[in-house]
Amino acid sequence: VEPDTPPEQLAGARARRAKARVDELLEALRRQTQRLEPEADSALTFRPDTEQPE
Amino acid sequence: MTIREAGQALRSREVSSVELTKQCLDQIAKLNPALNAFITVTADSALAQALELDKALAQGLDRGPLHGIPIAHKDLMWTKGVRTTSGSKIFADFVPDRDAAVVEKLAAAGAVMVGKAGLHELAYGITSDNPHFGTIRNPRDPEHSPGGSSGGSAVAVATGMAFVATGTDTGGSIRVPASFCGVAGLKPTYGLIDRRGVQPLGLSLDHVGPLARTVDDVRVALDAMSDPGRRKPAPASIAEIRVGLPENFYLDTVAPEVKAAVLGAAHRAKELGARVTPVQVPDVEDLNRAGLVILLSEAAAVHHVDQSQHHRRGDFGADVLALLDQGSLVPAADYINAQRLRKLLLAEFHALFRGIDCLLTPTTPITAPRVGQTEVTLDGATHDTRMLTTRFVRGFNVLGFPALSIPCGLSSEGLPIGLQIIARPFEENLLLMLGEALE
Repeated sequence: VEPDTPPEQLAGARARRAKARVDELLEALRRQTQRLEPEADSALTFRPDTEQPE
Repeated sequence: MTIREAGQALRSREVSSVELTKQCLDQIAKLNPALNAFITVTADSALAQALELDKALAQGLDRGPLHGIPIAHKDLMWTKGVRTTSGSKIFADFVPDRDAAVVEKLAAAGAVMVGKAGLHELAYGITSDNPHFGTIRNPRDPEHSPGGSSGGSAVAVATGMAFVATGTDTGGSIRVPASFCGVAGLKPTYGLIDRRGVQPLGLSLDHVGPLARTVDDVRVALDAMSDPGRRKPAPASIAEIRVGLPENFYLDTVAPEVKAAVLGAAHRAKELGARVTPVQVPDVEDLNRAGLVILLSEAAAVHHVDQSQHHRRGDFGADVLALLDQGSLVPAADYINAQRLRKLLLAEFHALFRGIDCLLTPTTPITAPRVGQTEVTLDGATHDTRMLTTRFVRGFNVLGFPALSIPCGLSSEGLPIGLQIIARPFEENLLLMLGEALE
């Protein structure tokens, strides 16, 4: 990025870099998820019989 | 002076809590202008509280090992009537109407709060280079970072501004500053310490824990911060402990001095009678990746309202806002699958721990980087400082296993090296036993 780049353009460049990093991370994660098999338990535990204050 | 030594001196009237508190406040007055460990110092209330505790002790009312001991709280623990900024402009004027559960417990145990320690903004980062409250500096060399996010807590205990400081750890935020500042820091088992009244970051990754100068001081603080009965008993002796020394991942991409120090610690453990065996650990890159996706998503959820309001976005520092924006790009399906992978990896680590009782690793692959240093060269390759620093710690937030960082010598530059010991859930007593033997 050139030093005299307007702020909007700079923000745009940052946003594109941030998105590229997330895309790369998610692509690798999605390769990992091929290992997943159907489970009996939810990974996001929800137990209606208990109070679960945050 | 350790907490137990201070306790003996208090009970034999060699010193008073008021005097101990004044000593800490004097250290703060002397060093805080250069190191910036505290956002708020509560000198008047600390001295008043210490005086009451001295009177109580004189009347035979003893609250236990922390009675009259000065401590600090990370400034994201709610403290009734004392502003709690979370290191953020958004919370700069927030004064809670109640104490966090852990603040309440430590006060009930007789601890004296001398102030609120600084941190990386919203605990979302490892430098403690805070755009709103200033840069926190490493007491070993102020040109270097103290680590974070609990940077102020580590500096406070390292310099005698407090005996103990509370911290939080979502991806290494207790252990990284402990490693960089040469103190002990414990991330206990997920859920062992009550998180009510603590500003969240990663809802399923956040842990509360203590930092202190010695392992025994960490033990005393942990006893007061949680129910000791929930922890499994310590082994009868070091000889019963099976120590796993990883052959893969944890000794790759490590500064040579750090690697030598960790191998030296493993050798000492063996000399003390522990059974040290080489082990292959499951894929930690997978674990870290799942952890990062979970953290990005959960932190974005926690701060969504402020992040999404245009007039509020400027109130975040650039690094934190970038991470929150990245989190808002993660689809729900990926977050849920990261949580599913977490369970799979948890099962793999439990299988590893059937053959060992603990793992020894470096806490951080490097010693403290310079303030503002965003890249580190290691083995001829350039690494992002944040990703490199959290490489060995993040996975244990995903697993929820307890992990202790203790000092393990100094580098040739005179900077502390950290050793990390990890055990199965609720095996903190084993960690403390081995940590005390090795410190």
